[in-house]
Amino acid sequence: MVRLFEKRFMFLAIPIFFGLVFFPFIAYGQTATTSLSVTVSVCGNGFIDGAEDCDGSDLGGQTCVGLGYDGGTLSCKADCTFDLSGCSEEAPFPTGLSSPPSEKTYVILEGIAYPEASIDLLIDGELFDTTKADSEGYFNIKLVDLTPGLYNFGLQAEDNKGRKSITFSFSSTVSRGVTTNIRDILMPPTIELEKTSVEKGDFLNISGQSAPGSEISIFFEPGVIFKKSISDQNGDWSYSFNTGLLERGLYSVKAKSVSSKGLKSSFSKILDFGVSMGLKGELCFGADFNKDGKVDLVDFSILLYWWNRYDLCVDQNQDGIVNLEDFSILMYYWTG
Amino acid sequence: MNYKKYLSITAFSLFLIIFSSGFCQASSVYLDPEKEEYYKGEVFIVEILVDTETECINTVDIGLSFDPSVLKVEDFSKGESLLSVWLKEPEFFNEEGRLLFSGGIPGGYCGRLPGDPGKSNILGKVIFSVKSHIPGETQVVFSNDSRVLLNDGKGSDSKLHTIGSTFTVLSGRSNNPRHEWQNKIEEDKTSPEPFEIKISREESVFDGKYFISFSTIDKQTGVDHYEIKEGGECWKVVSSPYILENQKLDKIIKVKAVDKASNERIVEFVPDNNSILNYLFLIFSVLIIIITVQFFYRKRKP
Repeated sequence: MVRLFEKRFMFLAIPIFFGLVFFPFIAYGQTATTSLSVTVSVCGNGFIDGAEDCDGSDLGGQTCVGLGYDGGTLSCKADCTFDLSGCSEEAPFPTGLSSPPSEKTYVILEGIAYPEASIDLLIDGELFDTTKADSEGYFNIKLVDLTPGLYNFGLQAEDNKGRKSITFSFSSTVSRGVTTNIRDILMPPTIELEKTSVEKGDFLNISGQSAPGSEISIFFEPGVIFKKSISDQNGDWSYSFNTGLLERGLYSVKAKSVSSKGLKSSFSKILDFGVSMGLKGELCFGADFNKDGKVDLVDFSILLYWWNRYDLCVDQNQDGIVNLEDFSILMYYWTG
Repeated sequence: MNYKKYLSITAFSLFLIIFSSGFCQASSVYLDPEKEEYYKGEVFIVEILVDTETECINTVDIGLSFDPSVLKVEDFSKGESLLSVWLKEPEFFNEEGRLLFSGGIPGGYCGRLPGDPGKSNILGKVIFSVKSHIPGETQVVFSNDSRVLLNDGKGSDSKLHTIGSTFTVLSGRSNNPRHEWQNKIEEDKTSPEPFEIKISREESVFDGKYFISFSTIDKQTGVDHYEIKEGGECWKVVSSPYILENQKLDKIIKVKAVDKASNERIVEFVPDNNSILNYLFLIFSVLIIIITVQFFYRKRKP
């Protein structure tokens, strides 16, 4: 009986053992992946999707009475929120039909960055507009009459301490005469290192901003180290990392956040640091080849000039040639 | 104890773990339609799509191979492409049966957003025509050196899975031959999007000469080509970056983006030391002097 139990136990124990041993490596592998909370809903397509209250004649079964009124006719506004003007608190009276769908094409981008952050909007890689987040980090951008089609939107936020986030990009299809709502955007946190070279055993201070009250996950690579922090009411977060956990070598750190409402961000910028050794020269860090503070078409032109040749500045990964990897790094740091 | 049995369980566990972890990070590029039947002479569109699973990508370098005795690439549409920076413009070699392109997505692409009503994962569209009348199957496949790079700031490769298409050539001729591309061209009445000409000069590139950078998108059939006109010169087909012929920067520079349906968008760059403006300023100054002289002359006249 004991031997039978032992056999059955071994059947389970071996996969569990290997699962436990390899899980951190799988988890580490997944630090390159991301899951986001951004959603798209189309207002004007005649059915409720995303966070819409209603869409055209689709009121989701809701009525004026259901919303606490005595009667009347509930209708839907062009922005897919309820139009309560036809609801009455006394006797019901007939009203017009529901609002016709808007003739204009709107795109609304809503989300959270950092308190008072300056937010650049890129459309198809080009800087289109700049807006400001409110004191709690909320922002709302409304675009009117874009040509219908596929758009690559990019958002880059600068926190109130001058640190810039990575450009957060997403694609969505814009259709004529409807409102496309892209909601629940959580901007990736900003991140900054106190210094880029530390002695083993020293503490390395990492800081940045995120939406107030967010949980910040900080990942150190290579390795399987990940730490957590919380952003305060001003959006500030920090972590003092004991580099005694690391061997001498070069490392990188990045962070992502989950807001108090459960929204998930993508990863922040990746920053490098050395433990008991310095970093390689950063002649043109971040693919800004002409050093004008922007990474745009001009830097792309410079990369094309050096294509399949070597240039100390443009060869971002220092593999001896300007190639596809360097182009990918340029795309990563693009600011428009 | 049956050690062989435990060994095989161990190996199986390891296989499952490694296999599953490998699939955690992978992108797929595939063609749509995956299967279809066509007659000789028909023109059809094949979409090249990407599925990033849980990854974020920013660069693709794609090669397609096809049988040149059966199919011919008529065109390539960048119209609804996810790529907004084209590193290598689409190039096709019908004699060899090859098509190549590379491009990037500034800031990366992490997959389709939930609720997105459209296909937002198109890399490009290939317009094929059937040139063979011999019935049978033909394949369009991705070349082995196709690459997709992660948006990780290091240029790391994503593990790539590719799925091609199989097309069947039917015998005879269609009574109503399809020409899917022609329909798209006829529907496109919209000009390419507005854009900007960026003028620069860097000591380290283009021998320190002034050059311009430009790029735009056409949401329907895609940009076909660009043309430039410097001052009174004729329009000529160019690509970005372009070294200016007029290095004095005293003439208006116009760049025209033309889409596949021949719709145009022209933007211009007016230099500060523009010769036309200088000329107008000169005429204006001369007129002021003449009027002033005349005024004083009349005043002195008794």
